[in-house]
Amino acid sequence: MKADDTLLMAYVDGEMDAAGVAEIEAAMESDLALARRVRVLRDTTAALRAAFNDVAREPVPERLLAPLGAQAPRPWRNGAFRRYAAAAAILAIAALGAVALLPGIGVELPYTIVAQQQDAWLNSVSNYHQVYVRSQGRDDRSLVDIGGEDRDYLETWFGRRLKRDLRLPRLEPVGFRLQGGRVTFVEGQSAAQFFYKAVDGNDIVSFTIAHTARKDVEWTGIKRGGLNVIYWRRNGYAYVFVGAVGRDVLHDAAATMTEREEKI
Amino acid sequence: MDALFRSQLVALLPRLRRFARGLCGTADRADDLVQAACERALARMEQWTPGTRLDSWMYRIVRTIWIDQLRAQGVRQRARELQEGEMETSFDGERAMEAQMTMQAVREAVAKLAPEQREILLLVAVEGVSYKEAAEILDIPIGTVMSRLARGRAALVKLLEKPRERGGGDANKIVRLS
Repeated sequence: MKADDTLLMAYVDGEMDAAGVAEIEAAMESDLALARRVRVLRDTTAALRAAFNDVAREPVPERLLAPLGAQAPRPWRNGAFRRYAAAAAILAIAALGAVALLPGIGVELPYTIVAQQQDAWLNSVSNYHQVYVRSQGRDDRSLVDIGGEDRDYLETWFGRRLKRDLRLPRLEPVGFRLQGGRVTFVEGQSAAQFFYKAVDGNDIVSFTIAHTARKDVEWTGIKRGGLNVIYWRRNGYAYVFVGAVGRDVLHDAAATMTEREEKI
Repeated sequence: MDALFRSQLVALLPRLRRFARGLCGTADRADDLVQAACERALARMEQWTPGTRLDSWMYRIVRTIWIDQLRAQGVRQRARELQEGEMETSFDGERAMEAQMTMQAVREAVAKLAPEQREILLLVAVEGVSYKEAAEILDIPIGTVMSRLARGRAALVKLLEKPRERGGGDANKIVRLS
């Protein structure tokens, strides 16, 4: 592994500040070899996560719960998730194999590296998230267009604006409850941002879904200020999870959405 | 305090089991490890400062017990460090077409990693802890976290490449790359 791969790794792991991120992303636009190495690192991480993530979805055995005075909770994952997890893992691993093999044979990548100056929209999503968080406690509802009590109504209302079937992630198992959603605009089209509040605290996680004309991109973890951000683009939609929470928490939250997307 | 501590610990169990599975390989041994860690945590509850991260504290306990077990078993795994640049030069196109991989292959590859590479990869890539938290959990400097991670990732890619060198594997689920 080359020395500067440590820097690329920090980028992939979301350990870089905004200036470092901008520098690497600018370098990737002109340096395909660099972009490939980033891709290998990303795919390795995705393959690892895929290989072990389903363990956290298994019911916890009684022998671990009993000494802590707890009972087995209701399972919240169904069989479909397992199948999805397996499929996702295989895709991640396939990607790892395909891309890892490319550099040695000088084959051009089957995709192009998209310029990332459009990152501005991630900034606005993150900024609005901050505004929302700062307004907490005054009036939780003042910044959402529709409250989260009636999930069906919320999904129908925003689904119509996004012109798609919309199923919002259920984050209760991760410890967050839907508060509501607001309309926003990304790339000149309607988008929606939904806010979830920690059941036992003040942490806020937001989820944004938007149309995008840009190419698909896999899960990418970055930092914006004190916020962790995970985003990906798939089939014409961009998905972003934002929160001043641990990356592990945000990962788990985002995983609930990829599960839902698979069913649509 | 007791009830709160226990309920927070219960909430962490899925993640602790995931971490332990990666360390130990099998479900039984992993759950034994988590059970031992929970017992130790309950016994030393007063050593945890409320308001600090319970997950980091628990990862540390799980990892400490695991290391003790490894030592007790006399397991000494050689670090499989790759030479500089090997990652880029050890692949070829033909094998890309024949690549067959499964989640199981990744788990097996992780099990073959040197313990210090396995634990850091699992913490950062799977558990999603920051470098700083990983440094605290493992009690090593951040620079060491980064160098071990880099070596671990390179070693993992190398290990995943090996089955293909033997012309495939006995995988049940087959992925054919095109």
